Amino acid sequence: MNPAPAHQAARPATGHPPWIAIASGKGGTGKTSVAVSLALAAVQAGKRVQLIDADVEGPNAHHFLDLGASAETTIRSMLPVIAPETCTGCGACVEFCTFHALAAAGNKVIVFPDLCHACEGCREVCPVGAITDGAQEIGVIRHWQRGPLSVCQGALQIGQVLSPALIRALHRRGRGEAEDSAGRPPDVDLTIVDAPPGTACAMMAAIRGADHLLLVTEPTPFGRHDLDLAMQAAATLRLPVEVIINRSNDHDRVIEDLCRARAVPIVARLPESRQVAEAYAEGRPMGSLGPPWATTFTNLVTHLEGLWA
Amino acid sequence: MLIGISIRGDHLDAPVDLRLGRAQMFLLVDSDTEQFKTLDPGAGQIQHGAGIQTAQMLLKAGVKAVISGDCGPKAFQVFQAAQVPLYSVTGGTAREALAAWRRQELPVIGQPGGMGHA
Ligand code: SF4
Ligand code: SF4
Repeated sequence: MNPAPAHQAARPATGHPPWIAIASGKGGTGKTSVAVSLALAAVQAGKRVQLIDADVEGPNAHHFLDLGASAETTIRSMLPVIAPETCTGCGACVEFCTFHALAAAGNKVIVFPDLCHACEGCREVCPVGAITDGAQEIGVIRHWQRGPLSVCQGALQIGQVLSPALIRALHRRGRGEAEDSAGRPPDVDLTIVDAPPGTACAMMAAIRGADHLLLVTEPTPFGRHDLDLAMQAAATLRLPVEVIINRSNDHDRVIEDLCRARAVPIVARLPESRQVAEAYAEGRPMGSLGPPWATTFTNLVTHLEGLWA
Repeated sequence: MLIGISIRGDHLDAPVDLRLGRAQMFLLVDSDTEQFKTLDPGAGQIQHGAGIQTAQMLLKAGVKAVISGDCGPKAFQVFQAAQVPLYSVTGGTAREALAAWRRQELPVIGQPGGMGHA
C-alpha cells in the first residue's frame, strides 16, 4: 500500500484505503450500474479505484465497461479427502458437519462434494489426522487493469454452492492477502464491492469487513421490505449504512419513513427515467448520462471522501 | 439378520413406503424371529441430505439389508459403501415384502432412482 501521508488522512481507522460495499435486498435495483458509476466518478476525481464484482453467480459489472482482455485465476477450495487406512471410523467429522456432506457407512466415511461448504471443520475435529484437503475447483477470478481503474470479478463454476468461499478469495486478493496465484491488487485509494443481491450467505460474505455499506433501493413497498431486510443483515455486522434511492419519484416517502425510523441517511436519489433503461440496454452505466446522474455520483464521491477526511 | 423396511404405519401389515428418503417410519425386522421394532428417522424437516441421514441411521441400527421403493443417489452411495443391499418393491405390505424377499423374488436396486429423493 502507498504510505503517502496525504492518503493516510483519508483512510478509515482500520488503516487500509476505504472499502465500500454496495448491496441491495433484491436484484434489479440498478445496484451494479450504481457501483460502476461510482467507480468511474471516483476515477474522474483522480482516485485509483478497485471495483470488485462479488455477484459471483452472475457477475456483470464488466458489461458496463470497455475492458479488453482479462487475466484469469482458478480458485480452489477445501474438499475433504479421507485416508481409509488412518480413519478409525469414530464419526467425529460426520457429527460435526452441519451440511451433511459427510456420511458414516459402517466404518467408512464418504464425502458428498456438492454438499460441502469448505468450512474445514472436519479436518480440525478429526482426532487422528485422517482428513486432508483435496481442493475442489469452485470458480475463477478475472481481473482487468485500465489506467487507474482495476476491475476484479469472481465467477462461480456452474453447479457449485460455494459462493461465500469464492467471495472470500476475492476479498483476500482485494486486500493484498492472497498468498496464491490470484495475484496482488494494485495500490488503490478506494475499493468498491458490488455485492450479490439478497440477504443470504453470499451477500453477507460480500459486505463483511467493509468500512461502509451503501444500500440501493427503489421507492416501492417491495423495495422497502427488501431494504429493511438488508438493513437488518448489515446491523448484525455493525456496518455503517447509507441508502441510495434509484428510480426516485414522488413515492420516495415509503423509503424515507423507514430510513427515518432506523436513523439511516439517504445520500443520493437517482431519478426514474427512460434514458437510464436505454443506457442499461446499451451497456452504459447511468453515471454516463450527464446531469443529474453524473453530478449525483460526483457528489457521492465527495460525500464519501468526507467520511474519512 | 436385521432388515430395514420403509413403512407407512408401525406394524408388519402396514404398506411399504416407496420413498426411502422421505419415509416417516421404518420397521427393523429380525428375519429369523420376525420380531420387529420401529425406527423414526425424524428427518422430515431436513431439506438436503434427508436420505443420507436416514441411511446412516439404518446402518447404525445394524441393518444388513433394506427394502423400499426407490432410493436417492446419495443414500444409495451410503448403502453401497457399507455393502448393504437394497431391495425394491412396488407396493404391498411389509409382511408381503418380507415373504417375497425370503423367496428371493425382490430385485436388488442396482442404481439410484428418483434423483430428487436424496
Ligand atoms: S469441510 Fe466443512 S462442510 Fe465440508 S465436509 Fe468438512 S465439515 Fe462438512
Ligand atoms: S473424524 Fe477422522 S477418524 Fe473419525 S471418522 Fe472422521 S475421518 Fe475417520
